[in-house]
Amino acid sequence: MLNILIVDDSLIIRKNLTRIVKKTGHNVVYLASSGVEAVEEYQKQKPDLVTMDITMPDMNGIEAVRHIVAIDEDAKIIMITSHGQEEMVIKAIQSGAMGYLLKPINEDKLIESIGKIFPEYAKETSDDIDIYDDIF
Amino acid sequence: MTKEFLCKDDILTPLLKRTKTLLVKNFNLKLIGNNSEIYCPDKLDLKNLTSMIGTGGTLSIIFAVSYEDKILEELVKIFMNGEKIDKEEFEELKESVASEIANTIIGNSLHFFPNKGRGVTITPPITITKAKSISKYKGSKIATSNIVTNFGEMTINTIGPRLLFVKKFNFKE
Repeated sequence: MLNILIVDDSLIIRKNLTRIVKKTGHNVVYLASSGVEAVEEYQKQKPDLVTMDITMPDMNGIEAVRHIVAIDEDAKIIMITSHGQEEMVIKAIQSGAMGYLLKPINEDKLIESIGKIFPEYAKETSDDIDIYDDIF
Repeated sequence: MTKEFLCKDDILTPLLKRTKTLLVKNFNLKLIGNNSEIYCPDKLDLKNLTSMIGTGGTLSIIFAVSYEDKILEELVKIFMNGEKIDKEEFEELKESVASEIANTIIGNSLHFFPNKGRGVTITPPITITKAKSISKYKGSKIATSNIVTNFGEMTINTIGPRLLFVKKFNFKE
């Protein structure tokens, strides 16, 4: 079972992700609603995985990823965001994120992404994740 | 070429297309009617709840996505996947869903804006309730389109400098 830190300023997304995480047998260690809170709680909770939004008050998700990776270079972070710009994907990956999923949240893709980072939790899938495949 | 045509091509067309796909494909709502008429009013008539998001960097526009109660209530139920919600929390979730939908359609559409949305930043959403209307100032322009579904209506509005609507965009590389 993985301990997961969920970071998103949207109440409905925090609830949605919590439901998916619990359904897949993992544990939510903390729900953060800003980048600042995410960095603070990462140090306290030491989660196995972080799901990170980008557009948030106080500190955006890209900056939060940089701070977390500076604290723990082995941090495992998946961006879950509405931003469809290629440049944002590149920034996130360069900052240290290991995956990038586009909202609206697709449960199967999230489970697949977790499986790519933690192969022991991988479920059999046939296709690679395409972040643009559900746009238009 | 009309003002509406430029505005439609560059910003509103990808936004409308993404919104319709999201409503139909992800939330299983049905669209009623043509749903693609774009007009440029002097004043925005708002529905019960409106989520506003601004863009900065290479594009300065305010987006106002306005919802009737009925469509928001249905979207909350879909997001919550059958979970029981008390009345007080339901109202809070309606605001959250309004912001999340606006954030998703704008964020997803950035890649399809001119220059693939390079250098465009977006602000966290602000939600306003019970506002009746927003009037445009001299030098600004409003463009709006209404989407009708089997669970009520929502409107997508863009408010920006008039120049954005009468000239081609000049994005920084």
